[in-house]
Amino acid sequence: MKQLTAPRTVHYHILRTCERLHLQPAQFTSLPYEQQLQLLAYNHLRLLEETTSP
Amino acid sequence: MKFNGQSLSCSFTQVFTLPRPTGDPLVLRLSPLPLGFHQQLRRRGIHPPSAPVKIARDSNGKILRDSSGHAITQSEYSNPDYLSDIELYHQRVAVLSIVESLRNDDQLTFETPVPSTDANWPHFADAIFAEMEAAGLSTGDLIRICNEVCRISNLIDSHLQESQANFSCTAPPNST
Repeated sequence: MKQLTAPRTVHYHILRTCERLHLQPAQFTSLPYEQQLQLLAYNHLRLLEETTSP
Repeated sequence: MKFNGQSLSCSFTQVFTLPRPTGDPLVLRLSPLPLGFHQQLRRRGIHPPSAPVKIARDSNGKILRDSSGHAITQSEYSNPDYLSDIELYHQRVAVLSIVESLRNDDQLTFETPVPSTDANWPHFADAIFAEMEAAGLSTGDLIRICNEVCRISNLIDSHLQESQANFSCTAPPNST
């Protein structure tokens, strides 16, 4: 995998999560905080699994 | 499911104690603001006001123009109406942030009903502010609560780690 030049912002992670889960960004922002964090955490773990799996 | 009246699924909440001059402190259970809260405010009609613009004139009252012949304009940031509008905007943002942050506090309720349409949110914010004033909360109190709301809303890194941990088993799987 290519090395990223800089850590990504929260906004980037929101867009990546929306992309994966087929959500509109407006749908994401209208969710409660706890649910938003759950989706971001899920997406983050999926990314880690995808980059570390053989 | 609730334990001691608190929902177990509501994590990330923080207890904040506001000292009161009359005696018992006010104990609030604050939650972080949702990501994109400012967009939610805009959808609900809470917009920052724009400063009025006037045509710039020279000392003889003649309109000043740029090299293309367009009249030069000046924003009036010291206009009294604009200053009171911006004060009201900040007040509404503060009040709605506090209301949003108190969503998991079962002990505190407001008399003003939550609007059913996006159009009524500015009036809702004003009514809640009046309730807060009537309850004896000063501007300084609101600033203290807002500071705490900002602090806990900026703990996303630790909240994200906490959320990630929820996807993992706490005990190793039984191999027998």
